[in-house]
Amino acid sequence: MNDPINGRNGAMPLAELLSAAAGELRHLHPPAGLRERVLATARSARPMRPRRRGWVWALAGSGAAVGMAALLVAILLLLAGPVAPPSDHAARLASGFVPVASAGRWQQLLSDSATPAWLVTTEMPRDRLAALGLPFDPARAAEPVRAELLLHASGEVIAMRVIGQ
Amino acid sequence: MLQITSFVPWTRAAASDTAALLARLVRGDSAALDLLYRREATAVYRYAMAMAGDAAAAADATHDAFVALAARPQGFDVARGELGAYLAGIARHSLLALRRVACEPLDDEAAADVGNADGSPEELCVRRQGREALWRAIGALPWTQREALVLVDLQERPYGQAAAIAGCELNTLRTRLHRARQRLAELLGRVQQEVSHE
Repeated sequence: MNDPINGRNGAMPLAELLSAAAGELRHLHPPAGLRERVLATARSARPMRPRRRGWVWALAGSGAAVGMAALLVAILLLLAGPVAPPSDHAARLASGFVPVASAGRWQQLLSDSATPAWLVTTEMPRDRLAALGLPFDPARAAEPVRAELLLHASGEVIAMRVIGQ
Repeated sequence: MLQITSFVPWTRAAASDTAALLARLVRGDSAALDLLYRREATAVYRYAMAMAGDAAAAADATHDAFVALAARPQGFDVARGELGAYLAGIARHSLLALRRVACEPLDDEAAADVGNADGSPEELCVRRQGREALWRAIGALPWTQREALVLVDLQERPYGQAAAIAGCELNTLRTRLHRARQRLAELLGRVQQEVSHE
């Protein structure tokens, strides 16, 4: 008699079949375009703040304030040993940072797990948001806004994100 | 003038914190939704695909799950479970709604006879390939049994998480899984008998 559970009479055991099916399932991925569809629907259903590139370059160009932070950090780095960033690609994707340095520098940091990096939390004037092209409420202009800078061991600002509105 | 308030090594934990991403989503940060999608979408899609057996339906269910999360991120409490299970639960509701529209029974004990599904010589050749027959048999299982099998045996989720997605008690899930395996063996046995008689 056929016995698919134990695999007698030439049939594959059920456990083996299920294991093979699980392997097939692991090769499935969401179709291309679904991510964009999700983001577009979410934005149309509820006002969301899109990722904006302009403010990044504005920040990089604004120079003085970020440069001063980088200088301070560089000094601090001389006093403390660097730490290697994580090598897990998913963790980096989940970080939410937007590159401030050139794309090449960002990719270099991502691809080289031995490259040291530091996370610096800063506060800056809220009106800086407007200069960076981000939503800005003039009524709260006196309140500072928090941001995180991802710095290379050399002191260069690689990426940043606003963490408080 | 910038003021440095903290200075720490860049750590993996800080980079992937679900609560922080959800907090950003509550504030309307679409980049946070993007990051959550990249992290969770594949598992949700695989669950939906294994349940529906249809790529379009699976994509729609995955889409609905993330749009629902974006519309009401505060609906998920990080203290009560995993975000992946929460999203799969929303996808499940979407798939069940599709079934209701199609008037398909949730627990059809008279599952389709996979052995009589087709009879051309080409199709019988395909039947001889075990995995093809398996997928057909999985598709013929009642919804609740198929779900238990997909979550535990195919996606290898912990029993507790599988029960949370299926919306049932742990013991109920175990029972459904046991019945699913039995039914699957019966269905596959019927196919193999037919093949051996050809």
